[in-house]
Amino acid sequence: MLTIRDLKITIAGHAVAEIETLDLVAGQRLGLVGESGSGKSMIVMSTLGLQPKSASITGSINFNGQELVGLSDKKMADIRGRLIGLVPQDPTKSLNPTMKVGKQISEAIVLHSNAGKKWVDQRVRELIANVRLPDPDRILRSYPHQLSGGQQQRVLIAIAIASNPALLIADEPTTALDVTVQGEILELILTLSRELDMGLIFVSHELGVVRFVCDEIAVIYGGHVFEVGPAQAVVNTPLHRYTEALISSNIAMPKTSADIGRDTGALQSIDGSVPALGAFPDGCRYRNRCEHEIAECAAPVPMQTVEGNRRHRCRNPISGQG
Amino acid sequence: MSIIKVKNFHFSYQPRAAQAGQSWTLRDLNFSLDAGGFLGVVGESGSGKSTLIRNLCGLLPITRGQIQVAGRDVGSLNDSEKLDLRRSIQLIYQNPKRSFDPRMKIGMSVSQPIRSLEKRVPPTAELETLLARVGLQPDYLDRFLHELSGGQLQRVAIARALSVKPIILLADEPTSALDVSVQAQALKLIAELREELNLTMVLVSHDLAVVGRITNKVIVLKAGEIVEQGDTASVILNPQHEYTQKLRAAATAVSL
Repeated sequence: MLTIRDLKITIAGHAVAEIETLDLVAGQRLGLVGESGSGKSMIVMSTLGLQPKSASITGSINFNGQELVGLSDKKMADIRGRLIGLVPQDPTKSLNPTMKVGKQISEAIVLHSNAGKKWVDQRVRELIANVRLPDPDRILRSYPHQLSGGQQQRVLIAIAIASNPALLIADEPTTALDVTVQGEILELILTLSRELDMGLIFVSHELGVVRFVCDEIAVIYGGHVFEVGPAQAVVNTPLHRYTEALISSNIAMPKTSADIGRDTGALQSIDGSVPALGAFPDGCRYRNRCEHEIAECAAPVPMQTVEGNRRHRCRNPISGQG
Repeated sequence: MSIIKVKNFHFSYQPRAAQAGQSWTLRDLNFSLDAGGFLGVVGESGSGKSTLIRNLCGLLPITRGQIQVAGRDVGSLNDSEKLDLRRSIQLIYQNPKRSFDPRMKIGMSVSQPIRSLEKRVPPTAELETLLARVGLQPDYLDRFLHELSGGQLQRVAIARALSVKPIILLADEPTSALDVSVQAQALKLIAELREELNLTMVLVSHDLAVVGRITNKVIVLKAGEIVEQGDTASVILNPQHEYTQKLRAAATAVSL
């Protein structure tokens, strides 16, 4: 459905993302996991033609046979919203505060169809039901500030799926939400992608969140894909040293009394911090923070295929696997 | 011996409406914390957890009830006692990028509590020692906010809080604005310094896992009321209140 080849996104002479190969197969849910500065948002924004004006893009993003790189703004605007929907990060900043919610949803429908008012009104109610919002009469007449963060995110999901897109992109859709609301929104996105047979690209900095929603995970650091594979495999048997470190620095829910309190020694952490754009080392972009660096890491690291779609880019992968 | 005692404490941003029985932001809180203890305050947005932390250090007035810190009633301090309280309780904020003056060099920022509370200008060596304690090189003193990463800035915030030798440290979601790979670093640093300096600490967080890992007592806030409190082990591993159970289930579902 989405095929990325030799994609290079450059801002002010610095490569923000360099992706040789990344695929989303129809009906699949792909998670992009990365920290700030990994380029994950830049990749999905480029897919929507929403990259900053200062960014230059080479390579190919092919969406169901249509090349998206270099597409005119007008053609891109037609694809965006109609064929590819976006659920943004912060719902409280993404709706128009001066416009009633019902009007905002119908705008999204009218933009890509010339159906009559009656049909549009009916479709709005259908969408409200799709995203499991109760009391549609009240919701449609509400302004965004009268809704909770979770309800606002449901409205934005309704807008994103208004034209039955083939692909839904969710960029950290639950980061701004409370943990109990996060669970409900994740469930909703998962259910909708199945019900409506939509491909999903889910961007997050949290591996646990991505595993919950996706069946395929790509771990991204410094604009490079470090590791790709089935979600469970990436989490349970990581190949790249960065993925391993990310998992062990994760602060997991305590399971036994041995995990509780006092024991600060048990907290693993990665030394240093994510470098600024342009300050990443040559070769493996993680090597200046890696405990397993070897001489070969200074040279460019090619992507290696272990089997099928299980790939990694590590010179010194976790033993017994690479 | 309890160093923080909270008794029948109520707070409202609209005290008049609240006295008439409505709109309490915090309602009838009762808890205490022993010297050297580590309390986690858990709750979702709007539960009043950040308000509580501001009450504990006297940044907000007390509407009803009592908060005692080190044997003194926070609600009835004179000016010099307020200064004392500020020295003995320091605060680390959620977003380090918003808790520093962008026009000030880091060294100047770190020296602010000493300047305002101890009325003296700290020598460079003292500032360097403070930075060393949080694992930062002396040359950071001459840098500006935008030259530091979030994790480095949060370290500076910790150094700044420790500069006036507080006995209690309050932290309001100190890791939630940080990258995943440095969250554990920051948390570990806070926990280590707490042990080393024998600090009493209150950590506010929406993250049950974080609170579970490093605190030894927990209160769970919901809409301004404590729904459950106790030892961290029992509250986190065997929550009794339906709301705590819901929080735990939601956090476990997305935990690795």
